[in-house]
Amino acid sequence: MKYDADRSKRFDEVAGQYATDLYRYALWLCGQDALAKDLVQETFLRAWRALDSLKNPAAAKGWLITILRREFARTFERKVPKFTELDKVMVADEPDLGPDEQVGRHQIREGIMRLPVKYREPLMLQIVMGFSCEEIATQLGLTKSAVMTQLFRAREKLKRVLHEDGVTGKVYEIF
Amino acid sequence: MKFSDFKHLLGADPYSQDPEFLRARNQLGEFAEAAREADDFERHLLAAAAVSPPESLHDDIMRTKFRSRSLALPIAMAASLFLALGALAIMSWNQQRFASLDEYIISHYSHDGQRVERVAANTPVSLQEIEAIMASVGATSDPSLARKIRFLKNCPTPDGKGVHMVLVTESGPVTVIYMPNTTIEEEHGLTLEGKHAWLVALDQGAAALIGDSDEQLQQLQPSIRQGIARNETLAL
Repeated sequence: MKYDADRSKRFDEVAGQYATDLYRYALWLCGQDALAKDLVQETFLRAWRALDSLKNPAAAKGWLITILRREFARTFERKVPKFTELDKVMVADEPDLGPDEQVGRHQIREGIMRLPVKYREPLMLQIVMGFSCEEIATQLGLTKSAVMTQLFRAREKLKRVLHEDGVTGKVYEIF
Repeated sequence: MKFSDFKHLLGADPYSQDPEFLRARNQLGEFAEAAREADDFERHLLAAAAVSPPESLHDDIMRTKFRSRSLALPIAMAASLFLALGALAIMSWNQQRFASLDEYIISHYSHDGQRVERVAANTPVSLQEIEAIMASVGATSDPSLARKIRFLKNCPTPDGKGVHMVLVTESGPVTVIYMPNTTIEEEHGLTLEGKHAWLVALDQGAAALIGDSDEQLQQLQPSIRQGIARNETLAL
């Protein structure tokens, strides 16, 4: 059987385009780098095997997220630790930020991770994966109106968490 | 648009392209102030969410193409089978004579090239095995090249024992037939059905590279030239 160069090329294009965003989304789901990496690899393994079922390249992003979310629910959800390891992942991520900015970014990241999954997931689908509210509704099996409520509450909760951390006044003033 | 609806949409979907929402963004006063605050918060939120991925992420994902859980034969059995067949091939091939080096390479690849590539896709190779087989022809491979090797075995060449390897690249497997005792006058391409092939001269010996595109082979050539070294003290 001849190695299918076209198939490999299609996979490489999809992986190249979405790997980073999928990892970020997985990290915000799992809260742990190793788990997120495993989840993304499993997702792309399944995607490679089922690549022929992806008829429309424009649908790749939604297709990959569907695979990832199913894999998360099937295998990974029960492995999510009680406490996240985001600090280990993100300490090295801020070489160019000043101390105050680093504190501010850390606070936002802590706040994101403290959001309940029902708020965190649609928020990450929106800001990491770039989905519209309609697309998020399709992914989560909700109405658009419900999704918009979750997104609004996610941001409001995030702002409240940042205020509870000792930030006074408007959020943007901490930066 | 009512200010309360505008604020709600800023909180739920600041990326909305609704025309009324976009017009409200450009209004003066409290609309502009609310939009500025929301955009500022969103900038920080996006920056916080955009965690850098691990450096190995892309490579790890590319390797998923070479993982499989559905082989009928255990991987070790399949690898052993091919090693045994390789030994038989050496005995029978030593009886053959080829009109040219090109003919030998074409014949060799046609014989088992694609079958070996298929098994190689699922078979990791230990460094010890790589060292042993390379040492059997008086050669070594550097760690950078060794990491790319997914299968290797001894094979007959017109000038004695050689090594048949399959390497993994981002664009698919590449077969390398290393001929430690062969000297070529000029590097050139070969015509294989459905494949691209190049015959390259090494410091000592020669190698045939067979893959899906000239670009793929060109990218791999430096690794082969720099990664294979002859060490006469190792020759058995």
